[in-house]
Amino acid sequence: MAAEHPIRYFDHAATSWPKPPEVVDAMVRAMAEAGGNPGRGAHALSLGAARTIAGARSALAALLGVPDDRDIIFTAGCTSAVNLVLKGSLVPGDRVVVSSVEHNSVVRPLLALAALGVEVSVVRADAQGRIDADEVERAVRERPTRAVICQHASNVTGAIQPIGDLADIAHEHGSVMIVDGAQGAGHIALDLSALGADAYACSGHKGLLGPQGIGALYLSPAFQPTELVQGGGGGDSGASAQPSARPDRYEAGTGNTPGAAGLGAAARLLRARGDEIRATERRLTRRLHEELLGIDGIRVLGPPPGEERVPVVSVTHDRLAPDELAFALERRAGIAVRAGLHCSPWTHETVGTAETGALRFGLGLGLTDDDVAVALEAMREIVA
Amino acid sequence: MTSGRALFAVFGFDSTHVALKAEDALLAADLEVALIPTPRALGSLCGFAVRVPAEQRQSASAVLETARVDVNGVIEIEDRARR
Repeated sequence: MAAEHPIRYFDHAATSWPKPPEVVDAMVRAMAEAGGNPGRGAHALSLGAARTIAGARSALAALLGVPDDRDIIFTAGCTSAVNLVLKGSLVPGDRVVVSSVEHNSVVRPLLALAALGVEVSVVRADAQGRIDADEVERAVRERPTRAVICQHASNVTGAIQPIGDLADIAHEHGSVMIVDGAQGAGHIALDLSALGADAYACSGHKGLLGPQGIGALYLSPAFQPTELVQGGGGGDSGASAQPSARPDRYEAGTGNTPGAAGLGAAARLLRARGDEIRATERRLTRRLHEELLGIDGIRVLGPPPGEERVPVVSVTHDRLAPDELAFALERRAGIAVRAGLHCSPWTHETVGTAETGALRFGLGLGLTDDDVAVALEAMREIVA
Repeated sequence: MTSGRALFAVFGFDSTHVALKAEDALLAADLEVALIPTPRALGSLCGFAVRVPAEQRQSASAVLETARVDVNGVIEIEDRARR
């Protein structure tokens, strides 16, 4: 059965869609024309794959402000990147300071480490989901701390955290700064050489507009977590030990060449058009936010209008549950949103929505003023 | 050399990443570059190596040094298989 309405896609915080044509084309070309195993040989298809991955790494480094592209490690996604840096750098007896608004991609590996003896100290965000740098400093000052861990932006509240300040605090106390950038990369203009993060984990398929199945981890040159996976990489095959050089140390096994091709194409697109894309995202997000606040019974989570946020607007209604709203929005107007806890129960607990969850609009490339107008009208009709 | 076959210098690197950087730098310097399977005599380095005519060896070394590309080994080979 044909859809009754065209899809109006407001779930970019989960994954961006539709992917830019450049991304799709690059992935098809990689499979058709560069389908060898990257770095494993010198025939044309293998070299093509190696060049595809190298080009993608270079494009992503340029986009993120990373001077040496060997400091960009490709991973299976942001969750894999977070697991690599946490499990590769923390040992029993270490203490970490972490915000109360982290996603499960941080919470779950941290709690697994806590079970092994890593001490996890949680700094509570305010009711809008914002972390106060002074409270982080108080926590870090209490006892020796190996790492400060914080998201760049929330997938629930849209709040942008003061990563530069937190990095300064971490470094003043001999800690490393680890950032979950799942909602930051692409949606926030980044210069990682200046931000101060020792590790910054990226999702390839959200704001970076690439495909699912690939992410990236930036590691500062001095930060050397232990690799979690050992194996072949095409280099130094006679050595039994894992190579120590980046990126090979952290990329054992055959790389995701089509994924890298897509992510590289997306990075080039964002380098050329990122400012324009972000400006549109911000404008549409602010309009949606402000007009949702004018609908009876709606509460919008996160910082007030006028304060910076990534393009995420989550709401609750005093009568209708988020799942009811999500279903009605799709039936009524083809609007794709996400209801529930968004894999972030800590955040919902912090902002007071642990019992209900919320309805989340995640904006991104491709949405228009018309889409926002239709979403607002549908919300007004549904809650009337 | 008695065979009359061409001589080449082959540079080895410790990763694909570095080998491709080397290729870029040498191509930019208009040297005659080919990527070839790494000869066993270079050890067990990256899966491919960078070949230039032997007479370009010194130029290539200088280009790679200027480009700060770390070379892990260099050998000279004959074109025994007429590659």
